[in-house]
Amino acid sequence: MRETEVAVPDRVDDVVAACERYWREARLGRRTVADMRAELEAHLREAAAEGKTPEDVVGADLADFAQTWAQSQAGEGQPVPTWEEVWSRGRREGLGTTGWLPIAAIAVVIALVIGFAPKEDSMDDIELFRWIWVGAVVFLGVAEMVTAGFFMLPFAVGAAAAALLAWLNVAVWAQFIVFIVVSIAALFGLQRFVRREDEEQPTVGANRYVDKRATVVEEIDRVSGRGRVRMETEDWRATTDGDETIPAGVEVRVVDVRGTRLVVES
Amino acid sequence: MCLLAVIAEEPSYGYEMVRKLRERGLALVSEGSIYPLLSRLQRQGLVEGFHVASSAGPQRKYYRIAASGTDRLHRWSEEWDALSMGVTNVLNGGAIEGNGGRGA
Repeated sequence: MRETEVAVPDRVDDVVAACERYWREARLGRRTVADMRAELEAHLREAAAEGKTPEDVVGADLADFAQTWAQSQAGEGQPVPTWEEVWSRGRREGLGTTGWLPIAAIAVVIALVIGFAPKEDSMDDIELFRWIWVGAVVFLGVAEMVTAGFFMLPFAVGAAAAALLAWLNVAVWAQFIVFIVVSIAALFGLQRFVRREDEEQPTVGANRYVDKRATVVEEIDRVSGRGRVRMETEDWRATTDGDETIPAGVEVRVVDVRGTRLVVES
Repeated sequence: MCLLAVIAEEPSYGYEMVRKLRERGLALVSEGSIYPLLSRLQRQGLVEGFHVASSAGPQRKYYRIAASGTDRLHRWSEEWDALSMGVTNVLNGGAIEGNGGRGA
């Protein structure tokens, strides 16, 4: 059957959430996933009322349970992804809900400036700056593609915003302000992606736990400081360098040890 | 087959089915494994799922046997009767043919 077991969390909510996430990524269909989730949750709660744990209901391997049910829903002709595939896929996914915040903020700032900043009197200056900004976007864009890292990109975004203002005849000084503000915002916004790439390199050193596997037993949340994993036969406190929480049941890899905590990634 | 028989008796939902099976001496490997079974029965058209509003919370998914399910169950139970009769005969050493008083 399966080589490694995925431990079943103690809390019904964690079990249901993990299964729902997997079924959704397995593309079973929103309605089907909702039905399965409701059915599982109802069963687990009724079992809990009789003193049974989720593990009593679904068995020792959560992934096996979720996959078997998913496969029977999908039918023989449509193989479902494995549990591990889904979790590693999820990590590489795009912005997530928090990523849109800086973009929305930028859009609001631009809209306000367009609305309230004075318009430029001299059409010559405006013409000039339109082309300056457009030129900057092109130059920075090319430079970005040629160089490694995300350094040029934020300024290209800022220049694009300023160009937009120039085409709308907003005063030149306002264009510069927007350029600076948007560039800085983009710089911070893109930090998240830069940091992810760094995380790919595991720390090298005389660390005997690096690259060891562990299973999350208490959801890992860097911000709140919660998190425990089971590595081999021992429980450890754990944290992660990423922004996302890692739910219970997921298999993780140790990348570092800090004090009494293991630093892991999924 | 037993699952289908339980459903045939009266429409039921997952947790209740596990309980009924257990009461009759048939425990599943793990309770949760009933759901892939139900899923397969439903996909084969042998049972139908329907939702029932529950006073104590969210609606529950019930299953009832479908027409083709009744036919299949009938066929399966005939096969089972034949099989179990055969096994019994073998274990008893061919009692039907040999001795007139012993019933099948």
